[in-house]
Amino acid sequence: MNHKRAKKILFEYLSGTLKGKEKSYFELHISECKECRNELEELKNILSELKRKPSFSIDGKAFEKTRYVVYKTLEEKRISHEKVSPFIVPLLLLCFITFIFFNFLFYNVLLEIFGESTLFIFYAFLIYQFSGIIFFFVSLINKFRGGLENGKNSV
Amino acid sequence: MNEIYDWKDIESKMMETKESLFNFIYRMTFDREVAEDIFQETWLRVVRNLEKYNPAIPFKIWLFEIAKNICRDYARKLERRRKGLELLEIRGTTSEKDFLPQEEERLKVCLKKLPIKYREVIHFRFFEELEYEEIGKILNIPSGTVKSRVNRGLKKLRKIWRETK
Repeated sequence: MNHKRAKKILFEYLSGTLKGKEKSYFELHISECKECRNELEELKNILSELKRKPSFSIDGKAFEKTRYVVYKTLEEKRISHEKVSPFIVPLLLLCFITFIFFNFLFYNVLLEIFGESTLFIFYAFLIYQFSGIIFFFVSLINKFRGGLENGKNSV
Repeated sequence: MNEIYDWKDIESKMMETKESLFNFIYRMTFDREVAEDIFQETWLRVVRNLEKYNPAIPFKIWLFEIAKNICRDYARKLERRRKGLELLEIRGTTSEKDFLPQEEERLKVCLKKLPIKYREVIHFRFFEELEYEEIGKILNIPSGTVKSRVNRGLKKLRKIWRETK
């Protein structure tokens, strides 16, 4: 293994991702090359400092303050959710009834005034409405879940 | 988190992750007051966006992703005021109440000088001991990119380490 290659894969060797023949060649090179050996030692020192993991704790008061603020926010959210949710079902029911009524009216108007030949307009309009409804619900679902796996919905 | 407004669930997650989360934020900012603010902001964003949480992803990954985004926003703001603020940090006039042994102080100085994208991967790899795939999920990058960032980060860290002798 040449010197240039050895310097390149030094970090892979240290992070444990170097395997098989390349690892053996590297170890052989290290045994013969003082410069690479010194570099390896230096890196091992840095890594051992990293691994000693100097640690910092959050201040008790700061944590309690966060706890309190988070609790209050969650409570407010839960209360506003409880205020809204009883209205959702009646609202959806109302939308559904309006949808049926409007289409029933439209169908009858078309039939009476323009005759059966124009009913294709009604069916086209019905398909358009259903596409809109499906698109609306799919967008709503995607808004909350769809991008999360790719981090597009990161907060 | 099955019951999205369950305080006990959130509280237990806060207790479980408080050390590792704070350590991560602190190593990205090296300012205790800022780290405490970001810690609070991270949890507020968690609560405000509970409906967006996908249970298929481990909660810790999501939590660190949020913290990472806030830390990066902070780093960008800091970059805009960079020169003046760096001088203040070197002279030690920022609000820093932690006193460390000399070698740890050296490591802290070196990590501070490392670009944030390398600091992140080095933290997750060496302090949290996460696998490359897990780190990739937090940072939204392939695990191959994580590996090369770890290697480049270590190279840069070594260079900075030598300069701080």
